[in-house]
Order: sequence, then structure tokens, then C-alpha cells
Amino acid sequence: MKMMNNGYNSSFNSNSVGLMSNTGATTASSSSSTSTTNANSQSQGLKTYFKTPEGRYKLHYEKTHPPGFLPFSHGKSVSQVTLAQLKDKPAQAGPTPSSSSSTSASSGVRFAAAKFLGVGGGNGVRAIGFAGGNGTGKAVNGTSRSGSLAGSNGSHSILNPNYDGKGTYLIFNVGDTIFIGDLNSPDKDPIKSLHFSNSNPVCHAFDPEAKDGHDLLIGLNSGDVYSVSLRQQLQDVGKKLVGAQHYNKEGSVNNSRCTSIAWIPKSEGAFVVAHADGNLYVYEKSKDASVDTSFPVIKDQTQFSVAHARSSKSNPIARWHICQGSINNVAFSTDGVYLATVGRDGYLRVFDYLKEQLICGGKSYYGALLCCTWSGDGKYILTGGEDDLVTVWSMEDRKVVAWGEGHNSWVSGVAFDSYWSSPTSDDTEENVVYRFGSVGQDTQLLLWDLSMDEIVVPLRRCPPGGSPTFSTGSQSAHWDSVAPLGTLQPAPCIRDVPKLSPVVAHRVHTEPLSGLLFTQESILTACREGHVKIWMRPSSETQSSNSEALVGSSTLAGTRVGSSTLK
Amino acid sequence: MGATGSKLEKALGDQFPEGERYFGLENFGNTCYCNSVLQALYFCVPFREQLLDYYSNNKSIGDAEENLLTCLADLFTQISSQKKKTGVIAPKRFVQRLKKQNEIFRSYMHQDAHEFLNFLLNELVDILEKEAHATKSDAESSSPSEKISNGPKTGQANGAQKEPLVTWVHKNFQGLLTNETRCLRCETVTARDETFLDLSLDIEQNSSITSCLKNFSSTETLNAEDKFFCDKCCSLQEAQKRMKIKKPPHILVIHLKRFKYIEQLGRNKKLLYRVVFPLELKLSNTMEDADSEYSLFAVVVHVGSGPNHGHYVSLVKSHNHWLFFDDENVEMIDESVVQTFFGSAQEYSSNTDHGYILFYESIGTGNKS
Repeated sequence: MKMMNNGYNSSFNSNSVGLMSNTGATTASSSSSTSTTNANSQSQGLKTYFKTPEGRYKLHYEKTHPPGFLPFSHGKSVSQVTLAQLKDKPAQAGPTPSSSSSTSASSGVRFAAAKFLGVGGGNGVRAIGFAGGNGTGKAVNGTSRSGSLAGSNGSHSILNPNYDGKGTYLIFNVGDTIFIGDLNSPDKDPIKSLHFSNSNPVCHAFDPEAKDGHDLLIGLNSGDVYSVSLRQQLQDVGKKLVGAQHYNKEGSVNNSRCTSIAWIPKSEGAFVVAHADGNLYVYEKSKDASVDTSFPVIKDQTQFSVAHARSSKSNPIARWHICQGSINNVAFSTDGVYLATVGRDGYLRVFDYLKEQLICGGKSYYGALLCCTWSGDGKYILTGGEDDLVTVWSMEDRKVVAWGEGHNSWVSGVAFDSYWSSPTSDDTEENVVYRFGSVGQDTQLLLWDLSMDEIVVPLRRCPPGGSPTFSTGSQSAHWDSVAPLGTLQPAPCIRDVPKLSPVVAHRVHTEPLSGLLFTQESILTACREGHVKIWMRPSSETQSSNSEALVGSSTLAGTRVGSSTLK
Repeated sequence: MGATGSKLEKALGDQFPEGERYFGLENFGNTCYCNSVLQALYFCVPFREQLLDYYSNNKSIGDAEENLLTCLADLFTQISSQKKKTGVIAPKRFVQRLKKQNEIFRSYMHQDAHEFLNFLLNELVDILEKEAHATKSDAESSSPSEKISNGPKTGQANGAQKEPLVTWVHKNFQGLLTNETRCLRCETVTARDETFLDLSLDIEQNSSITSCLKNFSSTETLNAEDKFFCDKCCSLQEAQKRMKIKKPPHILVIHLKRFKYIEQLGRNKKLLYRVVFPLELKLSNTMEDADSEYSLFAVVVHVGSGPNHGHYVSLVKSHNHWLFFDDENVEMIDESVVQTFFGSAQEYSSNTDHGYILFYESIGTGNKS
């Protein structure tokens, strides 16, 4: 239902998130968008491009499982996608913050250069720009690596054991298998498959900053969790996980389905696993996974509670009981301070992770929430769910500030585009425009522009029996106050929330979609059945002029607007 | 059967209240359309309670002749008064009565569950109205404010002669639509109200119930061959028409138009479309101030790839647990299993189990009933 994009962003940091104004597509109109209504005819062919105000996005590559693969040996599961960027093999010296930062920046350049050479000079202007900025000559290595992989035609038996694996990889689950594809290869087939014999892998996450090699997390339908080194998997020729740490073996701690898994930013190898029974567990990969923990019985299923492991040796180290019913998705803010969860009960909850306290949250319009994500600056959270709405939550106001109307079915993936910058820039910090995207079970990708300046707050409706005018001019009650700390807000009334309309609506797949993510060059969309499409951004002057500035300091999973808060 | 029964009983454990009964219904040859709807109605708690109330209040009044209402009440009483928690019951009298009453249902052909539900509800309303009229002519001096007819003992027909009677069936299922037509010449809006017991929605591939409801209420332009006769202009004019829900029902029954007449084929075709339905729903296109919220409590599922054959089963929510009813078989299922009845995103699929009639009950604050 969602994707994790921390791996990619860390190396392609952008400090340019929409500090610019825009013509704006925010309206308070409650009428449904006409641009999105007719996209559902099955016979209608899918276009290989879509137009946006900044230009055309073109279908570049597609990735999928090998033909003939029968994905349903343990029943169906929804495909999700994680992007993983492997750098050079870790240096012998222990990575200090400064060296790690420069490593990631240079590998970012190298990756980009390799990409453009691989495309065949189609993006000449930008490739030259990168070559100038890079100057290390290592780009050639990258290219030949990806070339040789493509030449091997996805056959695992001839993978080079000394292969260092650097590059950007697409990790996606289909049925009982995890597939790994090379993002920069035109090859549709994956280069590696990992088979799970007991249960389906259903969620995964990658940490590009992982210290001891274990950077990939995989959560299973059975509740089991693995951490592995992605590089080690790529180097191995087999179809089984190698060198894996196994947590919650056979569901010994919790046997309900894993629903979402995430590394905790800036935590030195801690991660959380959310389950279908409303519990979330905190693990530390340095601790022995074989020592299992038992936690006290949850006294009140309706109340949030945190229990810590009694022994300091055991793993998981803590259990958070968050809600009744499934937790469907979790997301950490870029700085790792806040954890957002969404679930079956329709509530978004935002916790102060270290203090283990509920900060704020609120109910969907109706139905379960399926996905959530943070803006790079931590000011906004997007959620999507079964009310067909994309909801924009403000951390400052601790409530819903806008509803995006445009999907014709449930919203299964949301993400901010931290690489996008408004074409009409005026560089004022006061007028920030955010670009974000959403995908839904209506098979559509929608792009949205959010400018808080242009949000039209609905007027308070006249009280019953009062004069039927809107002349009082006061805002509706929803807007009168900031929600108190530590409380969950009820669902707002439909008339009280400003509506957004999408800038673009495009039907990208024939199957319901499960996730999207943004990279510097492209938008990735994935459908539930395990097909991934890579849409190249329009090549415009605005972007190439920005791109050098993008290669710089590194933050995890997104960006901050304005001043950087690197530690 | 005994094995299944005890298995279910074990699964039920002590999570269900003492009084609740879960009984499968025997199939008398293609009567699954009937069984699936009956289960949904049985677990429509306000409907069941009011039917049983009505029945117990009316029993004393002599042995009225048998009709579909008494047969249904008999059946529900029979289920609810079983000693065991689970088992199988043969709805024999009800099915016999149904076949006697309506020749459509007499054959052993496959029947449409929605047609049956519609027929049954209208039949119940007719019976109640007739009885109310009979009592009204007996005793004219009743309180005019009481609008519910909960049997001759408690309820009375209302005083106003013209206003239609509001029976307890209406109170549960009836909503009010308003059909607004705006003449594009004189801008006059003509509104016509109509009642409904269920909403039949056109469906699209990979859409949601929310989206289907939105389309149902979307503005349609009447022009060319299809102009509107405006009373003010006294001529045919172009106009804009839209349906709004004026008063949402307490029980919202949504029928998905999965069986569509295809002109090229000269017959009905089943649309296998994937149409997702949330477990909670709000009607935002109402004219009431607050958005009324609903919770899904039953789904009648059509199984099969064509319209003229196949099978019906139902999913029912009882005391926060979901159960699967397939004629005489009853099983507990996880809430997540409901998702497997959405339909298929592809034209041809092995998955042919599709949600066909959805039953939502109002839980919202906006509902004033």
C-alpha cells in the first residue's frame, strides 16, 4: 500500500522543495473534477505519457515479475515497492558523519551520470551537467556494471560473486517472492528473486545509512521479520535469504500479519514493525533476535499503551499497542522525532517517538486509512484511504487543512515530490508550494499542488433559522482553534474542509495501484499485481539548473524546506 | 452438518451474546437468492426486532390468514427461539408462500436476489397498509400524531388522509430522493420528491461505492431528444437534472447494477468489475446538515460469471464479527475476507464472487429517526 523512499532520497537530497509560488490549483469547489471521471474504461488504451504544467512525463521503463511466475502459492498479497541505493563497499575506516555525507553525495552523482549514459544520450544537457559536476570518472564503472547485468539477462547463476552491487535497485514483493530489479536497466525482468517457503513477504524497507551491512528489512504475512544485507543477497546465486537475522520467529511474539515496516531515522539500526492486530514492535538489530520477549497482556484494547521488554538483551525491545484493528501504514518524520500511523479505525495518530506520547491525530472522513507520508519539512502529513480522499494534515494546526478530491476509488499511496520546484518561482519562503502525488485503486496517478496561501477556507454556514446569507464572513468552527495537544479529532464535516483538485490525473496501469514514489529523475508507480512503471520527468531548464544544488548534504527520507537541520 | 455446527459453535465461543442464533437455511432447489437475502434481513437487527414485535403483538388478534409477513415472522421466530446456537432450518413455509404469491419465483430457475428483496419489502408494506386501513375503519378516533403503524395494537394510521402511511418497514428502509430540474432558459428549479427502499447504482470498473454514489447524484444535462417540459416557459427546454438524497434512510440498501443488458449480445451480461465498498460510509450528497454515517452489516454476494446461473451467499456482521452464510453452511470469517468480494480488475477472472447488494445501517449523528 505504500512505498518507502528513504533509500533513494538520502543520496539525492534536495533543498529546493517549492520555495516558490505557483499559479495554484487549489479551489474550494466541491464539484467533482471533470478531468478524472472518464478514465476507467477498460478497453481504453493506456497512454505512455502524461502532460503537466511543467511538461510531459514519459513512460521510461517497466519492471515486473518474470513471465510465467505463479504468484499465489500462499494466497494473494499486495505488491509494494522499495527503492534501495547501494553505494561503494563501506570504507575500512569507520564512517564518520562527514565522510558518510560526502560518500552519499558523490555516489548520487555517479548514479545519475550512469543513468543518463545508459539511456543513450537522450538527456544530453543534463548528462553534461552531471559530468562536469562529478569529475571522478567513476561513472564509467557504474555504467559498465549495469550493462553487464543487463547482458546477463536476469539469470542468477552467472552473477559475479565479487560483484559489488552498487547502484539503485527496485525491491518488490509478488506472492511468495521478493524481486529485485535494477532501476537503471531497461530490462523488464528482475535480476534477483528471493523465495519464501512458509509465508508471503508483504512489506520491506531499506536503510542506506545502515552501519553493519544489514540494510534491508522484510516483514511477512506470518508476522516473521528478517533483516539482511541487500548487497549480500545480490552477490549470492541462490533463491534463499543469506545471512539473515530472523525476528519474531514463527510469530512467537506476534503472529498477526506484518503491515508496515520502517527504519527509525538516526537511530543506529532500530526499526519498527506494525501488525494487523494494532500492535507495533520496536527492534534493535544489534540485539540477539533469538531471545524472545513476552509482553504483558493488553488491559484495554481501546487505549494506547507502551510496554518495554523486561530484559535488556531481548528483541523486540518494546511493544506499542496503538489501536483496535489493523495498523495499515507507518511513517517517520525525516528527523525521526515523530511517528505517524494510520489504520483500520480510520485514525491518523502522530506520536513523539522518543517520549512515547500521542501528539495529535484525527479521523478520516469515513472508513479505514491506508497510507501516510510526511512532507520533507515535517509540517504536513498526507493520508489516503477508503473515503477516496487525499487528506492534508497540518502539524502546526494539528488538524485537517485540505481534502483532495479526484480519485474514483480508495487512495492507496501518497508521497510528496521533494524534487519538484514550481515553474513560476519567486523564492519567497512565505508562499511555499508543495507538489505531491497520490495513487488509487481507480488505477490513476494524481498530482497535486498545495499552496497554503491559496486555500480557500469555507465560510461558516448560517445557523438553522438564521438569514440565508454568507455575509457574516466568519470561518467555520473547524477553523476556529488549534486542536489541543494529545487529542484525536473527530471527522470534520464535508463542508468545513477546503477542497483541492488535482493538477493532473492519469490512468497509469490496468490494475489497482498500490504505491508511488518520487526520484530525482522520475515518478514510480506500482500496481497490486507487481508491475512497476517508471515515468521520466520532463527535461526542462528549471530542473537542470537546480540539479547541481541538489547534490549536497544528505538527510534521510526527504528534505527540509529552508534551513537544513543536519546533525 | 453436525461437525460444521460444532466447529462454528467453538469458533463463536463466548464472544457472542446468549440470545443470538446463527442458523443456515436449507436450499429447496435454487432458493439461494432467497436464503441470502433472508440472512441479511435477519441480521438487520432493527428490522428483525420490529418484525418480531409486530408479530407478537398481532398473534392475539385471532388467527389472521397466512401471508408473507406472517411466514417471515414465523421463520425469524423459529430461528431466534432455537435452543441451540447453531444449526440448520428449512424455510419451507416461507418459500411455499413466496411461490404461491408470485409466479416469477415459482419456477426452479435462478432468480435475482435484488428482485426478491424488492418484492418482499413491497409485499410487507402492502400487507401492513391493508391491515392499517382495516383497523382505521374500525377505530377512527385514534391519535393523529402517531405515524408509525406497529400493528393494530400500538400504532395507528395518521390522521391526514392523503399522506401515505409510514409503516415500520418504511421507517427502516425508506429514504427520500429529490429530483431537481433546472430549466436553462428561465432558471426555474422544479423539484420532485420520490421515496426509495434501495438505491440501484450504475457501476464502473475499478471504482468505489463512494464514486458510484457521486455519479448517481451528478448533474445530467437534458437536451436534444431528451428535453424537459418547463411549466414556466410552457415549452420543451434544455435543462439540468440531478438527484439528491433529501432524507437518508436508516438502513441504506445499495444494489450494484452488475447485470447489464448488452444490446449487441441481445441479453444480460454480468459485469465482473471491481467495485470496492468501505465498511463505513457517509452520504455527503444529502440535503441534511450533518453527514450521516453508515456501517456495513450485510452483503449479498452473487457467485458466478453469468447472469442466468450461479449462486448467492451472504456475509453478515453480528456483534462485531463477520459470518459467511452459504445456504445451510455458516462460518466465521475475518473482516479482511470481505475484501475478496470486491470483484476483479480484469475482464476475465477466476474470481466470480461479487458483492451485489450492500446493507448499511445508520450510526451517524445526522440521522433523526
